Parts: sequence; structure tokens; C-alpha cells
Amino acid sequence: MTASQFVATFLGAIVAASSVGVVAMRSPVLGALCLVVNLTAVAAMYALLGAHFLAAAQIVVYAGAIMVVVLFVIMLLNLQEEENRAIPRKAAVAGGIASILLLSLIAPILVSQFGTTDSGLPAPVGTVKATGMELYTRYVVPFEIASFLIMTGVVGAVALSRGPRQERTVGRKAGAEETRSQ
Amino acid sequence: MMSSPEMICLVTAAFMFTVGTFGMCVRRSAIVMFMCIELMLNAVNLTFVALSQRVGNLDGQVVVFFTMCVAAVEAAVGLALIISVFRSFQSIQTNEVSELRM
Repeated sequence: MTASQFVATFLGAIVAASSVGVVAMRSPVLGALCLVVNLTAVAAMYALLGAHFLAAAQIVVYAGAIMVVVLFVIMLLNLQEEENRAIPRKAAVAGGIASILLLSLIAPILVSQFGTTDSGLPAPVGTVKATGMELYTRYVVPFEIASFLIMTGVVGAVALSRGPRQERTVGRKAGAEETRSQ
Repeated sequence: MMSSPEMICLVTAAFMFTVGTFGMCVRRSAIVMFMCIELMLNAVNLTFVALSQRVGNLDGQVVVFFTMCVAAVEAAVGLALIISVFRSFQSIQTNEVSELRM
């Protein structure tokens, strides 16, 4: 077993265990922390595969930004009733059968792409310089469209989380009447 | 058993996707379902990166970059939706939120 095989197996075990943890944990906070471990291990896998830029982006965007937002929402909503809720057994059996069937469909297709011999990793193609060149030359139009998408998403998130307008004006009127009656 | 690191990554990705699907089927809390979607997105990203490294072509990794952009937007909008659902129903259990009108 070469060094890269050993590291890949080790990271694979971490990824598998923490993804099971996301689903199995009763408390959403523990699930989110499992997901942080999972995303960091996937970033390490990207680095192993030679995708250096994506490894950095994975840590900054996923394990950093997205998971902080998720944890903030969990704390904001104060979800405690979640913890004493068991998964119904029927649903677990049905989901288990369906997902085993799905795995037996996907895994052989992926495995059949390669022989069993280890040819070693080829030189990394996803270095920061190469990815940047590709993004700003061939993919420059999709790149700009992605920035529009993100801006739309930010505006949409603010508009959605502000709540309905009626409620706000009613609340303001009620507040005004209260101060007047005082 | 000799297998290349890419293949180990691909098998891991298949497993991760399956676990994400299982979670979507079984869990009823909107925020856990959201995290399962993230799991599935990451599994597909890992497949893209492993195969792009195997082929020696950068296109797959650029696709993963755009997937990350979409995932970030999805996180922002999805969590805002979860907050506004919680505000109207005082719950984010998907089987309790069954009415379209308020």
C-alpha cells in the first residue's frame, strides 16, 4: 500500500463516518459539527487529488461560510424539540432498502472506470494558477453570470427573511397606538 | 487489494451520496434535510474532481467551482426560507408544515 493509498483510505473512513453522523445525530448542532468534519476531510481529499484551488475554496466557502450560517440559524431557531424525536422504523427500513439499491447501482459504475492497479497519481492539474487561467479565459462569461447569481441570492435572502410587509405595518401601528394611549 | 487513490475517492463519494439520500428519505427536520443536500452536492463534487484528475483535464474542476457558487446561494436562500417558515408555523418539521395558506 503506497502512501497516497493509505491517506486516501484514511480520509475516506473519516468522510464515511462523519456523513453517517450527520444523518444519525439527534441534535442538529452535533449534525452540523459532523458536517464540518466531513467537508474538511473532503477538502483534504481535493488536495490529495491535486485540486489545490478547490481545496482552499472548499474550506473557505463550505466549512467556513456556509456552515457558520447553518449554525447561526440552528441557534436562532433554538431547536430543542428535535432531540427527543425518534426516526420512525418503517421509514428507516424503506429508506435503508432504497439507499442500498442506489449504492449498488452507483458504485460498480464508478469502480468499473478503473483497473485495480495503482498507477500512482499523475501530476496535479488543478493548481491555483492553472484554474485561475481557465476561469478568466475560457469560462469568463459563466464566471460573471455566477456573480450575478450570487447577488440575486443575497437580495432574495434579505427579502425572504424580512418577513411579510403587512405584519410589520400592523405591528408598527399597534405600537404607535400603545404609545398614544400611554 | 490494490486500488488507486482516485478509485477510493469515488467509492467514498458513492457512499456519501447514498447516506445523503437516506437522510433525505428518513429525517423530517428541514435543517437536517438541508445538510443532507449539502452532503449529496459534495459527493458529486468529489466525483467531478477525481475524474477530472484522472483524465488530466481542468473542465471538471471548473464545474465544481460553479457548483460551489450555486451551493452558497442555495444556502443563503434556503436558510432564509427555513427562518420564514419557522416564523409562520413555529416549527420546521416538514410533516407539520402541510398547509400552503397561512
